[in-house]
This record gives sequence, structure tokens and C-alpha cells, in this order.
Amino acid sequence: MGIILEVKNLTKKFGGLTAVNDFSFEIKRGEFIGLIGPNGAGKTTVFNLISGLEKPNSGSIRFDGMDITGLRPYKIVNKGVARTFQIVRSFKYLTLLQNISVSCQSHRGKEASKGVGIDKYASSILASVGLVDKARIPPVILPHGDLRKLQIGKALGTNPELLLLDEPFSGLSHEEQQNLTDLIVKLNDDGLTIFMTGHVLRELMTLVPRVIAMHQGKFIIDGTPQEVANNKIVLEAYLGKGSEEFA
Amino acid sequence: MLIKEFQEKITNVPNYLKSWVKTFTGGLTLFCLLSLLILPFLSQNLNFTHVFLRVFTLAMIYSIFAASWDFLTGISGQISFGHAIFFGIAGYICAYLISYLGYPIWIAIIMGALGAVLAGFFIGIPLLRLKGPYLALGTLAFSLVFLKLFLMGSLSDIFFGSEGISALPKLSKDPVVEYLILLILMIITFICIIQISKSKFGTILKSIRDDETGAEASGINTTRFKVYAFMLSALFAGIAGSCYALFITAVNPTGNYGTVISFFAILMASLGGLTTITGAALGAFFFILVEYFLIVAGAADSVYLIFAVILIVVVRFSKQGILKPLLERIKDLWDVLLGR
Amino acid sequence: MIEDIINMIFNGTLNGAVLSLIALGYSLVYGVGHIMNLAHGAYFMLTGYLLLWGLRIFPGLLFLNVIFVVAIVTIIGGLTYILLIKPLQDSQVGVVLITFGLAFAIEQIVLINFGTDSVSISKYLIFTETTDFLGFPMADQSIFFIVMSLAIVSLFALFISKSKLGKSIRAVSQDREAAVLMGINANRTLFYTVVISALLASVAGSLYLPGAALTGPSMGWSYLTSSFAVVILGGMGSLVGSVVGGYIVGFLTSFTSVFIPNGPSWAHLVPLIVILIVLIIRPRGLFGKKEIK
Repeated sequence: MGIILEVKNLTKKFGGLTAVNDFSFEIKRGEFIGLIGPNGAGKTTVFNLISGLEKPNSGSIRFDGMDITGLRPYKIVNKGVARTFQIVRSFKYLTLLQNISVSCQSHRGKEASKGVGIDKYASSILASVGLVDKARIPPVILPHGDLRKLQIGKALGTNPELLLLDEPFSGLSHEEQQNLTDLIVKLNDDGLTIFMTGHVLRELMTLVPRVIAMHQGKFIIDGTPQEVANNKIVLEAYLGKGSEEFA
Repeated sequence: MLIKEFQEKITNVPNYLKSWVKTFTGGLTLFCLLSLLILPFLSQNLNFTHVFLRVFTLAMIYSIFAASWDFLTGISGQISFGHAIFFGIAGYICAYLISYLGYPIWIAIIMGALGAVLAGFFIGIPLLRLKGPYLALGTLAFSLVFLKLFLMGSLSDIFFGSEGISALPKLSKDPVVEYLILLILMIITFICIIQISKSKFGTILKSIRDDETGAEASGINTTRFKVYAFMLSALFAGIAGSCYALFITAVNPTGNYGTVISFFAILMASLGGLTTITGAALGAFFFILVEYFLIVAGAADSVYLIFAVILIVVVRFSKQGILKPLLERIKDLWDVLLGR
Repeated sequence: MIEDIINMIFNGTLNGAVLSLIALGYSLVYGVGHIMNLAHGAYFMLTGYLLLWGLRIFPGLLFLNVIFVVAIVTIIGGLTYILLIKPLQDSQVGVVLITFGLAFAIEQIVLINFGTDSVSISKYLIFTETTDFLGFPMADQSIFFIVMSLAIVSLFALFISKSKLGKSIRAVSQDREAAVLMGINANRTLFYTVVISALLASVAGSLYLPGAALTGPSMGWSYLTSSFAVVILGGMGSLVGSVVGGYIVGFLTSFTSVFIPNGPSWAHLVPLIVILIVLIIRPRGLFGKKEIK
């Protein structure tokens, strides 16, 4: 049970704005962790830095002991880090099965699918996220909840060890949220390390055993949902926006 | 593993063909191909074989060219406004090898195409980081560089200047044989491109087209695949370019590197329907035939203007191309007639 | 030698003056709408040929011709937006294709009516004399044009920073959604932007082309590529970049023309080489940003 992700002094500036400021934390293998902060706190930027979409100005990111700071996204994926996006994206003109088979053609995906072949492997992943009956449909007509599942399926196709979920519940109905939660919990139970962002405390409180909170790019606190919810700075950060977000 | 899959595919081919022919598009395509096969033998009239038939041969050359463009732009999502480069380079290499080094025709054609592939590599790499309109203009800039370089009088020792190279042999002295050779080349090219597009490799290219960041996030080295797309597209464009050089029996800068040629690729593929590949053939035949009839009718000056207007109208009103929706209407009619 | 240097500086400035005006409009449209209007070079070329046509139809009314022609090209710019660009806004590829088609169509129309020979429209020259500077003759019209170009650029800068429309333009170019939320009509702003860009190109054409010559309908493409080179060098969407880039490209071209053996033919390649070098080394150019500054 080692440390799977180690982030040290991560800083990212966009022109005059410091989106991520000297941010550090560690995640152990198999954990299920939440990253919270109000809108604009820098959560997605942290994800972008870890997954390689952005390069940090300073700081380092180590995955499973390997330095992945500033590597190209596809290389990071092939080390074992996959992510989903806050705004759902898919390959619009491909079928669901094809959407997943693309990730199965990454290095890691090809390794994992060696025995059964890419199509069967992609099919099984589609089944594991509950979308196998829609395999031949393009994403265009899917409801939002299914699209979020598809994103997870695409990430799973690369056989990741760490999964970054960026606001996976936004825009979902209560039932869809429940569905998705079950899926995520099962993935974690099966050994996948999950790092999830959200800006509403309610959903995360009951879900994850450990939460990291950030505000305006800076680290605030790392602890249990209870500890985080009672933290003064966190309260200020949220109460400033409207107390109903914190309930 | 792969060999087994391949063997399975091969044994499946006859069944696949049988069921394909029964579909509307399959049957229609077969009908068109058979008609094209029979065409040359319909008349012994010299005007027919030496003029009219050659129009079709030219259409087939452009079909291959337009299909290569559709592969790069429609399937892989890399917009090319300078496709004439590959066309021209292949033509010049082919011409040079035959005229100055005495190479046999077919070797020269292949070398020309390979030269185009190299060009695809060297052009793809610097332009890769560009997307959308930037890539389009980057390719246009490259093709203009080639055009001007080859036109420069001061460099005519290396690049043959505005005279180019002439007195090239034809693919065959008999226009009917020339026609049939191109027909076979066209069929082979289309089968190759369509199969590549449908393969897993093709799916990756399409994913890069649909969402490049997403493809990268799925662990795909998008740079490498984009270069592959350029090189494959250049290969087929080069085959067309070499054949064109032999068809016209000469190469010169405006004739082989002109922006009109790039324009034609865009025009033909767009009319036939982007991403369809077969639409490129439809577009090519349409425009070459229309051009021929306009010239015969005495309106040679207005040809390009009419084409430009058609492009504007097609892009404005239908991104799918006009011919594909038209075919779909016909298909619906066909189904109704057959009582389905 | 001295003559050569003055030649280079003078012509470099002249090139810069015309390129900055053309590139300004092109960059403006990209900055506001994130679209490339490939017909931009055609507006410039069309101005020249419409002026030529005016010479044939109304030979006496030079000044009125100019006003008329500039108005026509400006209107064409507006129509381009309404009929072709606006419906295709969501697709960058579509806009590029359709404006490409338009540029081609305009070129063909001019070709059919005027052929490919070089023509001069020197009748429109306001100043016909030359001034001598250390032995090098400088056309007065060119001096006039350089002054006018700088004046127009300054006026434009003022317009962008002070006027209401200018502020809308800046807002939409920074963040279209936010601008719309603030009550700005993004569509109308983009419309005016395209109109202004056509106006700039046309004014530049009517002041510059009488002193140069109309080298054929395909000259529109040269100016488009040069414009693209300027904008890429300066940074897409950066107006300062368009002006600075314009003069840099202008000087590079005149330097090549004067000092490199077989200069004038190599000069044609300068913009293209600039494009390729910038795209390969620093794609966002010198001042590349998304907003208009």
C-alpha cells in the first residue's frame, strides 16, 4: 500500500492569475479521496496539471515513484493515470463501443486486452458501466447520466491505476447520481484509486473517507469530511457564496 | 492472433460481397463500376476513345486525388488546403525519373508516390501543432512556396522553371488501356482507403478528428497518428499525381502545383460528402464531366467561377455534401418501390 | 550603397504601411469571431479592379469613383458576413471553406472581365511627383500613403479604446459569453467588425494601388498570405501585433528584394517563410493572446 500520487509545491500561473499556489498532497494506493473547493478554486487546474493538459510553473508530480511532471497527456495515461472531464466530451461520430475501443488501443489498453481482443475487452468495459445495450449507438442521443458513464468507461479502457474524476455528478438527476455513485464505489472496492472533485459538500460528505480542501489555488486542509466541514477557512470560503451550499 | 483474424476475414469476403451487393449502396456502386467497365467498348469512334473516354480517365485520376484528401480532412480531421503539393511532387519526381534517368514507367510512378509520402512526413511534422484554419493556411502556404519555387526563373536549373518537363510517355498508347489501368487503380485505392478508415487504426484517426484532446486523454499518441494520416493521404495523392503527369505527358508548376488543384480536391470531396470517401469519386466525376461539357458548350472561361459558386452553395446549405442526401432520397424512393 | 539602404528603408516602410492596414482588419475579425475570412485579400484586389472599371465607365469622376468603390467593397464585406459567415459560425472549417470559395469566385469574375495582364490605375494618384532624398527618388504618393496609414492606425486605436463599438469589440474578443451577458449584441458586433475590416482593406487599396500596379486577379492571394504572415507573426487577435508584424514583414521583404541576389523573386517567398518559421517555432507569434489589446 504505497503512495501512488505525490504532488509537491505545485504552482500554475495564467498571466497575472495564480490558479494553483504551492499545492502539495499525497494519495495512497487504493484510497478514495475528494478534492473540494468553491467554483474557481483551482480544482480542474490541479487535474489538468496532473494529467498533463497543462504544465506547471513549478513543483513536481510523482506517480508511483515516477516523475510525470509536464509529460504529454498520452504518456501519463500510459503510466496509469486516467481522467474524466468536467464538461462531458466524447467522440461524437463513433459508436459507444468505438469510443471505448480507442482507449483500449493505448499501450496499457492493448496490454490489458491481449487475451480477449480489443472488441471483447471494450465490450466488457461497456458492460461494467452499464451501457452495453447501447454499444452501437453514437453518443449524440444519450442522456447526460449515460454520457458521464461513458467517460468513465473510456478512462477504464486504458486500464488505469489512478482515476481522476472531475465533477462527475454535475448536471445529474438524483437517480443518475445514485447510479453513478454505485459504479464509482464498486471501482474503488475493486482496487482502483479514485480522486474526485466536487464543489458541493453534501455529495462528498457521505461518500469519501478523506477530503482535501482548496480555495483560490491554495491548500486549506486535508482530513475527514467532518474535520473539513468544521474548518473555519473552509466555512468562510463557502459561506461567502451562499450558506445553502453548505448544509 | 492477427493472422487468424486475417484468415477469418478473407474467408468471409465472398459472403460479405454477396450481402453488400444486395444493399442499395452496394448494388448502385456495382452498377456504376460495371458501367464504367463497359464504357470504353461502346464505340470505336476515334473522337470517342481519344477525347470523351479520356475525360473519364481524368475523372478517375481526380477521384483518387479527392479520396486522398477526404481521408486526411474528412476522416482524420486535418484540413488540407495545399494538397497540390503531394500531387505535384509525385508528378515531378515521376517525370524526372522517366525523362532524365530513364526509369521504367511503373517504377517511376511508385517512386513518385513514395516521394509524396516523404513530403507528407516532412510537411506533417512542422504543421502538426496547428489545428483547423491554421493548419489549412499552413498547408496553403507550403503549397504556394512550392509553386513559387518551381516557377522561379533563377532556379530553373534545379526545378525546371515554368517550362517544366515535357514529352513524357503515356500510361499506354491505347486510351482504352489507359482508361482500364486507371479504373483498376481507382478501385484498388478506394478499397484500401475505405478499409483503412473502417479499421481500428481508422477509428483512432476519427477519434483524433472528433476530439483530439479526448483522444490524447485516451492514451493515444496523437502526433504520431496525425503524421501517419498525412503520409497515407500523400501516398494516394502521389499515385494520382504521377498518373496525371503521364496523362498530360508533361509537368509544369501551375499545372501540377496550382492552387486550382487543391481547390478541386476540396470541391469534389465536399460535393460528394465529407468523410464518405466514395463521395469523392462522385464529386470528381461530376466536376470533370461538367467542366468538359461547359468547355464544349463554349463557356470555358466561366468554369471555375461556376465551380466556386457551387462550392459556396454546397458549404452554405449542406455540410454533408449534396450528393449523399440526394442518394438517400433516391434510396428511400427505391425502398418504397420495393415495398419495404 | 547608401541608395540601397534608403531604398530598403523606404520600401520597407511602404510595405509595412499597406500590410499593417490589411492585416489589421484580418486580425480584428479573427480576434472577435475566431474565424478567418479568406476573402480578405480579394477585397483589396477587388478595390483595385473596381477602380479600373470606374476609369472606363466614368473617367472624369475620379474622387467619386473612389468613394463609390470603397462603399461597394465595404457592403460586400457586410454581405459576406450576413449571407456566408453568420450561418456557418459554429464551424471554423465551414467559414474557411466558404470564404475560400468566395475569394475564388471574386478572382474568377475579375479574371473574366479583365484578364491577367498587369494594369495601372495611376490616374487615381493624388501626388504624381517624386521627392529626392540623398539621391533616392521617393514617390510622393507613397510618402502620402505612409502618413495616411499611420494616421488610420492611430485613429483606429483611438476608436477601439474610446468608442462604444470599440469597447464592444474588445469585450466580445475577450469573452463572448460574458459580453452577451452584459447586454452586448455579439452578432452585430461581429457584423460591424467584418464591415470595418473590408473598409480598411478597401481604403488601403484605393490609396496604395494607384502607385503600385494591378498585377492580375491572383494578387489577392499574395496579399492574403502576406496578411496571414503578418498576423501569425504578430499574434492572432493582437492589433499591436498586426502593425508591428506588418512593418517587420515589410522590412524583411524589402531587405530581400534589395540585398539578396535575384532579390525580387525571392521576395515573394518571404511571407511564406515567415509563416512556416513562426508556426514551427512560436505558433502564437510575438504578441499572441486571445483578446484584442
